[in-house]
Amino acid sequence: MSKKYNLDKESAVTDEKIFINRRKIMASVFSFPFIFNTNMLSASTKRLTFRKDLEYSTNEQTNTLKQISSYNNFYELGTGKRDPMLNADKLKSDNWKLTIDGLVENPFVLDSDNLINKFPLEERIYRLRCVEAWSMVVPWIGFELKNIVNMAKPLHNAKYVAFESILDRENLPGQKRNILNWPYKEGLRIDEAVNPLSLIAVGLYGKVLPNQNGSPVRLIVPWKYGFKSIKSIVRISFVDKEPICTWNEQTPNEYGFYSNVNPYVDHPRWSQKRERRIGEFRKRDTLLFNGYGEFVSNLYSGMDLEKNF
Amino acid sequence: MKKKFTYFIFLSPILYIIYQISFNLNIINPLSYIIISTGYISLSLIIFVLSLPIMNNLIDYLDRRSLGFVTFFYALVHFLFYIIDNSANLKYIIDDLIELKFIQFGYLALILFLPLLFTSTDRLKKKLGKKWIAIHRLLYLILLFSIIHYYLVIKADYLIFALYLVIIALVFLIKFGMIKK
Repeated sequence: MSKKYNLDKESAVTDEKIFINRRKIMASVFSFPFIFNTNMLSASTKRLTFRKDLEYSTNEQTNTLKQISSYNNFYELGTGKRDPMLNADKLKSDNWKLTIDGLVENPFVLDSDNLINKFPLEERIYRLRCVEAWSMVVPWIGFELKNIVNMAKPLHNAKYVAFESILDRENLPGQKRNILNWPYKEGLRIDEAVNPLSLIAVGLYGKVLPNQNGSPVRLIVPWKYGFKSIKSIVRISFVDKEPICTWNEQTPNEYGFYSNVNPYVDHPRWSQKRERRIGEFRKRDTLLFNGYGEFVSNLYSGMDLEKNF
Repeated sequence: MKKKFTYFIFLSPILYIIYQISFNLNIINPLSYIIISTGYISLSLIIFVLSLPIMNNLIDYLDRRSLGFVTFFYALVHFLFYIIDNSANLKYIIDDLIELKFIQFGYLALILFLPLLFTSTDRLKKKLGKKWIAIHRLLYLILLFSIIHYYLVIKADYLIFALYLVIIALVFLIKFGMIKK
């Protein structure tokens, strides 16, 4: 498979700050609403160096940065769809520490720099299917979760990977109330975690993640409903028992541990047969495993997907 | 004059929604936005209509019948955009009706508006007398079904729902004389 390399020429030619300031001035001169369809970029956003993946990426039309960064479910920043964007600055994502521990030979910590430098980054264009029956196509930047698993060297009794998000009741407006049992937790089986589709994302559209998208580091498991793709991760632990997953803990009859995208298992509030791709008018049919069956269906052979939803 | 004033005040939210969507003011999922906002407006208006008798000053400025029409209008827009959201595909709509409880309560609430709508003329009001009052008490049932419809759609955050319950409780306590105004 041929691989293209992105050398990031634009910022090499024009200093990024000048480039963006120029755009901002233009936007304020012609500040008609349609101008805001171009993505609003903040001068501090850091560009990443990455290669483009062609093996797992979809060639479908990607959603705009504006759509991806102003229609979010990130309850730590509020439960409305626009809240995460409006409260984005409440997430303190500088000086991050991601701890990898549990049943491993080699526990370690990744800091903010490690997250974007330690492993070679690639762009993965994935479909994202929310359990609320809407979907987007997002160009994530990240590396395979397998890299972390390999470096940690799990012990033979490690069967699952548990993820934990940031807990910051002081700053995160959503954590001032116990809407969910904070901090947000998620989990995968180890074989799911080392599947090449499982991505640790640190950026999107060539730049570091906007806070509202789970800065500075999040999981992306595109064959599962979006809530499995936990945001702003502070801990990844290798464990021997099925870990607690926040939505499963909250409403076990509605959200299962696996939560694979499955049009044949309905949720009490949303028919999962169809979805609205954000920006499209007609609904489209939802695909089993969100269309990633060729990569992941072998993980679940022999399992009853209606029981293990 | 009272009629015009009522329509003007209570139809302005839909104008604002149309304005927001036509000028793309950060509305990423417009169909969902219309459905959710008209749902809230409709529910709020049902409570408002039921609380009119305890607001003796306001009642002088508003036309109750027009207010009823406006309430139904928002419920209808809420429903019609749900249909549009499903591309008016009968199979999708029937699937939902069979499988989703909150959809069933939505239909119940909407259908109960019809007897109120069809008996809204002065002529029928006179003719039906006490029966008319009984028919229009269906609004309490509409409120009940709407509240269940709303409750069933909440994922985890019950704060706004709880505020609605508090307001409804207050209105009822005052209305039935358990709390003095």
